[in-house]
Amino acid sequence: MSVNSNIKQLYNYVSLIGILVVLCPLFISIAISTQLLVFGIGIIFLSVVLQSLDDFKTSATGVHYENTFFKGITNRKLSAWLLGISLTTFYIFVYWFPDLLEPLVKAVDPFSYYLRGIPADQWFLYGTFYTSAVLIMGTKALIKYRSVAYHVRRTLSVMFFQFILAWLIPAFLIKLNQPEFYFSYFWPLKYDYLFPGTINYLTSQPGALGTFMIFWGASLTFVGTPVLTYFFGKRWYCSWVCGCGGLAETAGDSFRHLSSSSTSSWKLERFIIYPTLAFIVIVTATLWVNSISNGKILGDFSNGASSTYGFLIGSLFSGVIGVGFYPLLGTRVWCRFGCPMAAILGIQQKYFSRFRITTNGSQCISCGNCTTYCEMGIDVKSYAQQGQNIVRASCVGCGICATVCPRGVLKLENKSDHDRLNNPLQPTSAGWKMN
Amino acid sequence: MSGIVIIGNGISGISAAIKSRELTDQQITVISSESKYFFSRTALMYVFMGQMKFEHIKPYEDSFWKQQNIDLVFDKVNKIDPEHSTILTDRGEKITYDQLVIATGSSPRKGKWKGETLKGIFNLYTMSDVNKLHEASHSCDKMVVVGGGLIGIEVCEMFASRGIEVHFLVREPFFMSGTLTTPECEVLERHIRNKGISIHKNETVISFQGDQKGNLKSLQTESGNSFETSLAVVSIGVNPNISFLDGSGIDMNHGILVNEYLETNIRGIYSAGDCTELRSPVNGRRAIEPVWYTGKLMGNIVALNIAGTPTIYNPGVWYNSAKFFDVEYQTYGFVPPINDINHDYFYWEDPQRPRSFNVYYDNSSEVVKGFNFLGIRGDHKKCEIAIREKYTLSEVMESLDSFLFDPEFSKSIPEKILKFYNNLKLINS
Ligand SMILES: Cc1cc2nc3c(=O)[nH]c(=O)nc-3n(C[C@H](O)[C@H](O)[C@H](O)COP(=O)(O)OP(=O)(O)OC[C@H]3O[C@@H](n4cnc5c(N)ncnc54)[C@H](O)[C@@H]3O)c2cc1C
Ligand code: SF4
Repeated sequence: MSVNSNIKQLYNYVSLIGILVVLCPLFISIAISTQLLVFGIGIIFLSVVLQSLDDFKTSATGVHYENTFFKGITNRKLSAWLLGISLTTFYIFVYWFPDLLEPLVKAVDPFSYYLRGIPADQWFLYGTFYTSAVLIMGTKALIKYRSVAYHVRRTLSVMFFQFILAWLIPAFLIKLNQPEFYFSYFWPLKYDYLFPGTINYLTSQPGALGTFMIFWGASLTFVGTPVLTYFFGKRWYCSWVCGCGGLAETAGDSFRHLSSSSTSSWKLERFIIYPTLAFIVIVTATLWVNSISNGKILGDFSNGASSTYGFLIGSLFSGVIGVGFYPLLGTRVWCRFGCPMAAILGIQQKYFSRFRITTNGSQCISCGNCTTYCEMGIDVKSYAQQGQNIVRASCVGCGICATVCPRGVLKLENKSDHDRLNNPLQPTSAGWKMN
Repeated sequence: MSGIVIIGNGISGISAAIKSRELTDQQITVISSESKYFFSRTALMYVFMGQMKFEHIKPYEDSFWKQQNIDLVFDKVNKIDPEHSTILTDRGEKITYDQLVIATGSSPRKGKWKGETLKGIFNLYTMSDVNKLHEASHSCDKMVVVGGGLIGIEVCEMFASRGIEVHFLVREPFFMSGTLTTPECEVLERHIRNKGISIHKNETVISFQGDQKGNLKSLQTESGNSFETSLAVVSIGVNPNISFLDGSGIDMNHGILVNEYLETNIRGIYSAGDCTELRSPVNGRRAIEPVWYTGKLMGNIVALNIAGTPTIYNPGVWYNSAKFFDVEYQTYGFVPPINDINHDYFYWEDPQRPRSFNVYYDNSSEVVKGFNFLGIRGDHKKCEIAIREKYTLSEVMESLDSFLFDPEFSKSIPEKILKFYNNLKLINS
């Protein structure tokens, strides 16, 4: 083994030690858990940055994906399974056994007091870990993708939204005795934001802020989202703003090629995501019926439906499977198969948007890189090799296909929609007819 | 069996098969000897580099062929008997056809050097080549690439990705100097050297030396240099796979000779792709063009002709593309490495990054003949229209944005090019 690969191993060990340092209060009672947490996250950050600078030292002129299938962690080998199991376990603890995490919750107490003025709970711990992951792995993504302006901006954007809008501001709101509110999440992803219970709670708050929050959430859901999606496609949300997308594009970036691109997985996707959307629409509607009729029509049914949704979709699907299975099923399992917000944005993207991925004449060599690295499992190549633009409901516009394509065939564009759906290339007696 | 029989499941044969299925209900059979399923040869390097697995470079799912009712036969054709419309295979099968498409591709050219059969000397053409290179790479920390073409540079990248020291022997004064202008070659050379490759220019191999066990030890060049290595990959071009047709009565030269409908001298027998030689190429195109794009179009045209829609093969404006490590290359139309007195280059180069833009044009009429892009993506359709419709250089510059295909947020590139162009105009006037 060369010196070089020894150093690479070293980075991995340092990161692992960092993780153990953070987690050690779970196993031994220790008084300095906060210091350990800060120290642990610090060395993880340092080793990730140093490793990225080394791994991607030749990436100033291009993005590199070689060796992806030679590394166990990115090729579903033992280390990938261990990581998947650990992440899944963590999610199960957070959702259903928070007591077991008590020592770690204690470790973030000082931050919670400082930011929110109240003691920490498992959700604050979770948010802190989540945000750290987006920031640390976002830095890695910035190093890896530094030669492509689109990726740099997109990555900075998700880091900003996670850190400021999904972590700092909700915390400050609590400190100011205001309701905790996430300005970067909307119904139906944040499904309870249009539930009668939430709305009643927010309107009952003193001051105008609660009303503003209702207004903000509703206008983004019903006006902002359709308008932005018309102009930019669903990417404005899914890979620039959303926290789930943010984690996928940063911490999940190394696992994007694990998403299946088979036609059967595409079938499964449509079979699950649209019923999920229907589920949350029905839950929301019944809650309103119930609220307006004071429970006379539906009795307990709507509350039951709502908590079933919360358990099955909100916790199990989006958290445990969605993130826990990154190293096994790829990064966007939740976004692709489950997210009702992605479902709505997708329908609009497909039928009423200026966004498409344009293909460049007949330059495609059918190499398959675009399909392999599509985190949504879209068989990009099947369109590109026919010279057809890609207009797909699931595309989150991450732009990696355009980067990994060795022949410059793909380009994300928002243009007038008249030639969005073009015909495939036709052979003629004057060469290819390009549409 | 009868119907359409296609020999070779590369891009040419497969294009013919898929297009034929679109056009007819006839039985379609594809016989090939390398693998049952079509895969993308152009992506072999990425399998070696661990960027993809073999399953990723198959452009169609295995179930596709059944769905399309295209029969795949994994066998080798040894002989064609046009008189009885039959072919004979390795496994002793006799297959009859109504129409036959020969799309057998090509094989790496041999150098006829002393010691060329030593262990440790490889080519890159098939999946099995990739497997052999993979095995051999474990026991080497240094290797030599012979031949400065598009495949040679891919081999450099492949081995560099495994941390192996690469020596790249180029016969010409520069890598790609038969195709690109000197400043462009220099952009590439700097980039390739930055990637840690040792380029040795003006080096022509004359012999290989081995040890007693028949393993490669070193190779010698005309200039008297000797390179110690146990692994060499030779990529000095390809030759059509046509020897099995000897005695069949099909006219051949370097490749299988075809007319403008891609039909051979025998009715009902067509040829497409790397193995094909045009009797009378048009538009200044070459008689044999062993590239992906040519094979794909030829396969489609053959299908049209078989289906009774006579269509001549006229590939129009030449285009090609490649990637040299991080630098993408695209070319459209005609840009020679050296200009004549009637033509000039508009050449822009980015001082900061390996990136250049080259327009070849007629210096009296300003009519554009071709484009070269390095590290910049050109718009295929737009470039082709400009060449066909004889745009002038200033017309191109007026709508330069539309000639580029770079990702969003790359506006600074056309801005820099235009600034340079306007300065040049100012100086010249
Ligand atoms: C490593 C590499 C990289 C390349 N990169 C590019 C690129 O980036 N861009 C580009 O334009 N071109 C590229 N090329 C060239 C391009 O791949 C070829 O031009 C193209 O594959 C030719 O296709 P084809 O179908 O004519 O022949 P092939 O792909 O050679 O297919 C012919 C098939 O027929 C089979 N066959 C041959 N004889 C018989 C027989 N007697 N019986 C049965 N089967 C038989 C062969 O086994 C083979 O599978 C590259 C080539 C290589 C090797
Ligand atoms: S990566 Fe590019 S060349 Fe390869 S299949 Fe996709 S579009 Fe075609």
